[in-house]
Amino acid sequence: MSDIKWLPDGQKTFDKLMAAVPEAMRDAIKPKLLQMLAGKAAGQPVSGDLVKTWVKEDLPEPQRSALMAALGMKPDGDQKPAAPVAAAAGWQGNAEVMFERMLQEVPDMMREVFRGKLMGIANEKAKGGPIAEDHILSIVKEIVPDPFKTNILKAFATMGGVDLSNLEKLIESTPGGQETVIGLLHAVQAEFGYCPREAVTMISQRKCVPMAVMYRLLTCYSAFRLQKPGKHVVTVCTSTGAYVNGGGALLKQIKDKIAKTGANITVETARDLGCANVAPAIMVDGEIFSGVQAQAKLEQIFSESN
Amino acid sequence: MADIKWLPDGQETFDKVIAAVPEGMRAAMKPKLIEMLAAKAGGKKISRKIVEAWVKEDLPEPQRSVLMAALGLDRPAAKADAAAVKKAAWKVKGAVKNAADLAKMKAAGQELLAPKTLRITVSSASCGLAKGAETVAAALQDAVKKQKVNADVVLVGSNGMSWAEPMVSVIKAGKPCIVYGNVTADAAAGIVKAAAAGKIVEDLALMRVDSIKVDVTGEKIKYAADKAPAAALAKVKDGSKIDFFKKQLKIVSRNAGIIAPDRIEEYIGLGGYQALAKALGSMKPADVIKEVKESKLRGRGGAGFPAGIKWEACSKAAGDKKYIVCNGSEGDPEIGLHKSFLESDPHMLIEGMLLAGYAVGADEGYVYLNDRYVLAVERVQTAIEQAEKVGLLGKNILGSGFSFTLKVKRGGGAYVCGEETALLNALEGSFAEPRPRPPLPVHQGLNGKPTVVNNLETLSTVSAIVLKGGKWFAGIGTPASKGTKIVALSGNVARPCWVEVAMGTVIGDIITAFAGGTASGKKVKAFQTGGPSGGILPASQLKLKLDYDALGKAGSLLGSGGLLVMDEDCDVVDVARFLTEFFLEESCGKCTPCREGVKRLNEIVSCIADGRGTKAQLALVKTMGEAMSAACFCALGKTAAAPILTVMKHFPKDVNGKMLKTIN
Repeated sequence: MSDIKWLPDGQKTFDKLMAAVPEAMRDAIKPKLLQMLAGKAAGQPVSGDLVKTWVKEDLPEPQRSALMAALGMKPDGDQKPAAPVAAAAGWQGNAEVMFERMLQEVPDMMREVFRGKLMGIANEKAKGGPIAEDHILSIVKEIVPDPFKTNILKAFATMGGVDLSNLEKLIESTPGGQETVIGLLHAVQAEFGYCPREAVTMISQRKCVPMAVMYRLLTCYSAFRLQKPGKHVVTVCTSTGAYVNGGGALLKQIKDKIAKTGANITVETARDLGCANVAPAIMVDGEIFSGVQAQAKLEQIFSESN
Repeated sequence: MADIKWLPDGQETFDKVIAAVPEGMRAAMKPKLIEMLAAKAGGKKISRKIVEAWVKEDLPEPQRSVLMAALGLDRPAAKADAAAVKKAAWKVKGAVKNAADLAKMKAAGQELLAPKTLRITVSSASCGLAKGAETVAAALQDAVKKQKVNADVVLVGSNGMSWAEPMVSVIKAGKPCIVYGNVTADAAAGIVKAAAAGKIVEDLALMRVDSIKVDVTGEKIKYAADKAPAAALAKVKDGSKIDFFKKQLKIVSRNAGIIAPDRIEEYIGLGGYQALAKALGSMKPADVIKEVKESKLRGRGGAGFPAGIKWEACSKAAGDKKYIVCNGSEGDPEIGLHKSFLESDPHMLIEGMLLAGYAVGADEGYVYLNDRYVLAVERVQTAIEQAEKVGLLGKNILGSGFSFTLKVKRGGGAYVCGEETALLNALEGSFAEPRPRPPLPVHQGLNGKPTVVNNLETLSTVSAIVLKGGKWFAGIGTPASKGTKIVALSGNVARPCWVEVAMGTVIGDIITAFAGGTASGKKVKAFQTGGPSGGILPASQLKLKLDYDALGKAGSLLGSGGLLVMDEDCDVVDVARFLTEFFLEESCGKCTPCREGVKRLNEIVSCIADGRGTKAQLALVKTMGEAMSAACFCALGKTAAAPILTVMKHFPKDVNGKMLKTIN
């Protein structure tokens, strides 16, 4: 390896290339690639262009296309004449955002190859005209295999903000007026982790309950959250029993640790976990833990949220 | 590195370990880890097992937990199994159309409770689950499968011994039931092995149980024959002879911890729905009310209003639509006893509500539960579905023409919902605020119709009263308070637990006999009954009896049965501050004396608790307490000053210690 002399942009380009190699193989492959590259350079300092030429001329497919894409090089026409890279004639509505979102499901190193292919299909569907949302949707439905298909469709559904389809179904199957609202809000919170405005508005409209009343309900009952919580929600029991047994210290310990590590965890307190007999207890995402179990669970979520 | 020989699965597992190491450190760590691993292997080829054992045994925390999680060794794997235990939902067979069907199901239930094959139960109410019951259940399930033992692993409720959770019981017909306490997942395989061989794991065994009561009439299921216990059993205490059970009188909670809450057959096996059959078969609604009146059963929620009188008023109220509402709001920050009870035996409540419905002529009921009681909601829901399936809820129950539907509603979380009219508001989807009365709920309650609102313990007591008679129930307890009461002990106690004792039991005895005194071993300084609204009483009052009137006279209340113990080191003034803060958070704001009162009260009490008190403040607290108890709209505001007022009365030394030295 000592016989390689790098020019700054050469080193940079090579690093970029290495980043595109799947992580598991990176260490193993690096010496080989360096050896190949050294051969190509034949003693000359390695520039960015040299790396690119080497990728283009010496590497076998499919690595060649993938790495070329990773380096931002245009796929060459002679290799895959069928892959048109023509730009879209135009986009309608959210089509462009949807197209990009669809590509996000493709692994990094293959994305640019797929972009060309899929763009071609989209153009075909649009028959030269601007690409519409429906065109992208039909591509996903017809061509993309699962589980990517499900992921993409789900993402599309929440693109405008919040996916209210479940709530809509639930409202339809819940007859009654205002007496059903608290139950619906519980369902909303179970789905989203909080009560987003869009969902509250929908309940307000369908159940004919003014938004002012909705807001008052949301704030007079302690169960509901109006802000999106962190990755995990930890509820610390602050019952009198826990207080007498030092529940305050546990709360402080958790808060301090979050402040220190910046973990994405929301801390709440509750007087009525109903487990004062195993106090101090905590509830993590709806499950109750106490003592040793509580400490182990905290350890786990902190390591996940860093 | 050359000296390491890998087996394919070992290499694979090790790669997983490496992948879990943060990328930046991976290259640096790898040689070290391999070196450690090689030492562990000692020249052998490295298999998956060696890598796993190495991670589990040799690595320091927190890396250990992280890597165990990455390899799926710890909780995650067990969790999947636990979910499987839960998911294997119990399917009820058969229908109960008449008394004969009920008898048949009773026999089936008893077969489940004392089967010829092995039955292993895990106590998994919330307090058990919090201490890892789910993992234990999964480990037991796993051991049963691996050891090829024919056994039924069942999730049951809690028997009250919260300090010994999670508990595991091993039952087989003809042998005494062995109860193990503080069981961990590691002990599961040993327990299954011993159980299959008819042996006992002695260090974990808490007690043995020779028989269980079928119902309040005295019928029993015997596990073992009457002969003297075998030698192996000699060291294990007889459950009926240890104080914890000997001193209790279990009526409402008699099934808790024995039956599976999600199997209606087991409830019926222990005499469930017999009271309903009796009432529907041979009693008029007025007879049921007469029995309940005779029993002198008083509301278990707080106020202690006689249930029979409430029912009678509702039955006489005009209207064709009536409701029964179960108050399970229990927002008290001290307890959770009703939750444990409900998670253990939801059918007892359903039967009580059916009886109430029959007595007052209601055909619809609601169970209102606190929003945090997610598991209780689930279990009551399952119980309702099963009762509907067999025909004990719905139309024409037991062929009597009586129909009743029941729904469970999860609240939004507000302490004031324990007040019955605020609860009705919450049920109607409105704000948690009390309503003016009159009209009383028995005249105009839910949706403006006559409604009985009872605490869930009150309703659960009714089936025993109907079955054995009001006179029997009235024979237990004190002149003013009849029957039994579930009491939950928390705070600074050696063994937190919940127990059911006869009314009139001395409070000091409850603390020593069941909870084993204070955890610190110091003297009891103070105790509080009845949740935050109760007074904080000194140790000299420990001779008080569990009785509505006696506690009321002492400036406290029985409430829903919380008993909080504080030892000598406890700063009672600070506890009073904590409780006023609670009222500040929970005041609904409807009436001015409460809304403004609790705010001001909290300011003053905080100031005193911080050691900056003045005599003028103490005088003001007294005046405010009187004013609030006279002017506030509901009991929340009326009793908000009780903790600080009782502290001032009974602990003058503590309060004086908090006075500002300069101006007093």
